[in-house]
Amino acid sequence: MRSVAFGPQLKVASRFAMASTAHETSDWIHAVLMSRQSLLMWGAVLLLSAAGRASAESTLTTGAGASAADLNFRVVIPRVLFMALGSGSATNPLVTNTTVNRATFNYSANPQAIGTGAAAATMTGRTVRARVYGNNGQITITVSHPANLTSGANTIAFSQFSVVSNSPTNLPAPAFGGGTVNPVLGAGGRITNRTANWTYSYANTVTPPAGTYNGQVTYTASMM
Amino acid sequence: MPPTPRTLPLQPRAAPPWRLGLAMAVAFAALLGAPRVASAESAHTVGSGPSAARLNFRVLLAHTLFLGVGTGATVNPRATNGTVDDVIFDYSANQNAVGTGAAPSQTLGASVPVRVYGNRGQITLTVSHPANLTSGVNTIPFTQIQVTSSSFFFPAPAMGGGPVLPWRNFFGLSQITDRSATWTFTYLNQFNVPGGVYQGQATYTASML
Repeated sequence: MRSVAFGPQLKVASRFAMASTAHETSDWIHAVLMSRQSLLMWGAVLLLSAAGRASAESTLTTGAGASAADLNFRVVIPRVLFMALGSGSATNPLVTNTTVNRATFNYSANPQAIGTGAAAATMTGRTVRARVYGNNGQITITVSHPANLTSGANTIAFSQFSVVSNSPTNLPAPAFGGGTVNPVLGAGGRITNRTANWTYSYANTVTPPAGTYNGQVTYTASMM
Repeated sequence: MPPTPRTLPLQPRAAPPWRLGLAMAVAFAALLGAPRVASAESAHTVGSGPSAARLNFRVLLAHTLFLGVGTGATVNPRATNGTVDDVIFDYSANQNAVGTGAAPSQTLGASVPVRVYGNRGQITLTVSHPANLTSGVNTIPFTQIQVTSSSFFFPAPAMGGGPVLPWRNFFGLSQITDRSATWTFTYLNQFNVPGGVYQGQATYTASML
């Protein structure tokens, strides 16, 4: 019995010649291929042939052995920085919100308290939810504002206002007049995700002319 | 009296022992020396009677195992292909969705054609990968990437999970396995991770007895 054989199958071919039936031949193939020496030989051949093909997307393997294919994964996470004060801080997921909230200190119901340091009879929106989120390291929050709130030509100094945070460690509020704070980073040192309530007060230590005094404060978060 | 003419036998005679030994020796030499030469027998018969010559045929089908993930899976005939495809989850246009579980606004290559072929029984398919996709020192666990298969007969091994067994043909009765499917990858997006491009490579390995 003859065999067309190549490479390491030469031994197999010679054993084929000793088999008298197809069944025996099949048994020989099985026995030879599964013998320990053959397995070692096949393993060595496959290791050599597999070298350099580890990154193949598709692999056609002839003979015994494994076939491997690689696939690359990529997740693109952009640098994100989010700062919100008021209505915008409540949205999830984070999204730009153009609503500007207002904190109002109204002495219309207790005008006799003007300049006494007493609180206004009516105060709305003075407790504001703040949120800051960033994913690229330490965030710094600064506050900027004009010198005064104005009512026509009359003014009240912005320094009459103060603010406290109910989370003074993790998300303190920067003080008027150029304060700067650094919210505490989360574990890993790259992510900041803090919320707090900032409550504003009016010192009411001056006696300005009657009027509605307006002014706007801008909080700016920056990150590396 | 004229000599009696020599007559040749009309029927083949049994080969004497020396001829049998010679034939075995020739066969053995042929096996060792010319394994790629096909064998054809010839018989010379003088006079009437049949003359027979036999020819052996053999088809040698090598054990074949093929695994294609991505572009190479669709090539016919099956062949090794060195291109490694990319699956990209890009939150650049919806950065507010990072960590919320929402899908990225842009996903590229997430549906991947796959094919496995083997001709020697059950194939086992495994996936290996590092623990994390990395962007510098920052990481995303590979288990944040999930996969589903379009074919019940050709499931996809989960990241960090065990092997899968593609169904052999004819409902598992055949020695042949030839399965194709589309694997679809998704990113769970459960973590707020630092900005960056996180990359990693998974290797799928098919093995067959």
